[in-house]
Amino acid sequence: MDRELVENLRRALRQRVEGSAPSEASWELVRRRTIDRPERPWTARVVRWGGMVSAAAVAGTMMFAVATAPENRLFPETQSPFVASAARRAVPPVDEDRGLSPADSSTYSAPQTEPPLPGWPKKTQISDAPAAGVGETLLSTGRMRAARAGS
Amino acid sequence: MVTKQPDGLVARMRSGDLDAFEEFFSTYKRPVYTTALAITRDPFLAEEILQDCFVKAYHARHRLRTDRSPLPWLHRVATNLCYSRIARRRVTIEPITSLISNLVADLTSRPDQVVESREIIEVLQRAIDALPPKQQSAIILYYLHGYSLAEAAEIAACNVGTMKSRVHYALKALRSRLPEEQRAPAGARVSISEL
Repeated sequence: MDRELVENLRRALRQRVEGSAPSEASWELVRRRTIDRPERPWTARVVRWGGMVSAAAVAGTMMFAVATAPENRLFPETQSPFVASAARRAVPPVDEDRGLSPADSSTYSAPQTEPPLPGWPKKTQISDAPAAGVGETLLSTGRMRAARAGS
Repeated sequence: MVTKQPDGLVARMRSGDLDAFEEFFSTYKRPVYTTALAITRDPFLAEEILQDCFVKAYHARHRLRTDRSPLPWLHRVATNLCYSRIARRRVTIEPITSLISNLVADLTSRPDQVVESREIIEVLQRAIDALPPKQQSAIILYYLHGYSLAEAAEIAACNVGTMKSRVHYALKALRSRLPEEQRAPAGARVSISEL
């Protein structure tokens, strides 16, 4: 290594520190933070650490309980049957390239395990195929009746 | 230099002698402050680090060894504090004292020499800042404090070979930062131990 570099390095390092010294007040500040401040006894430190550890344990237990609890046990009073049935309802898988097959598109039964409210139908069937005989319509409007009469 | 300790200073501190701690502070404040200032280049931050370092020393007085100097331990604590503070705030502000000293130097030398020398020193200052912390503290201990490689190794808690290697790579990195014309030819180089 070259001497000139080392000489310049020494100069650069000296330049960093020259003209500076610790202030006169530094001892006072250190004394205030050490001698003038009574040290806490070891029992106080144990109590402090114990409190922190127990608080962390309680927080951890609560988080574990929330993370592992079943859905319907968490907030039973806010659990709505509509929400439960909507959550359980599955959408049939759709192949985007193929589209819906006639079987899929004609009839789709929404899975339902139990009626959400008393008096509700047990099973909902959504169908776009004629439900009764061929040509027989379940629903008709005035315009449709007129069209049928004309034919 | 590093291994000596004023008579029973740490032992007196341990026994609760309040004057001993003041003596301890007066004895070691200067090298600790110099190390902190050389690393941070900020007198206010160096002052804070000095205080934190001695507060730590006071609380750790029962763990300090009585048979050897606490200076390596103090240097290590100061160095760690410096790097943790620098990591927290990445901005380096040039202190006003160095600006003034540069201006004074400008008035006392020939302009062309001043410009060249200032440029080299500036490049070196930036290169020192860019060094990895271990290499930076190695050159500060070796070239600024003037500790031997063995003493610097003791302070940095590594072996002499490692310290020598850190100094070597630090110089190599600094040299690579200098402009081509400022680098010495290969024949002009000497080993670390000769410098």
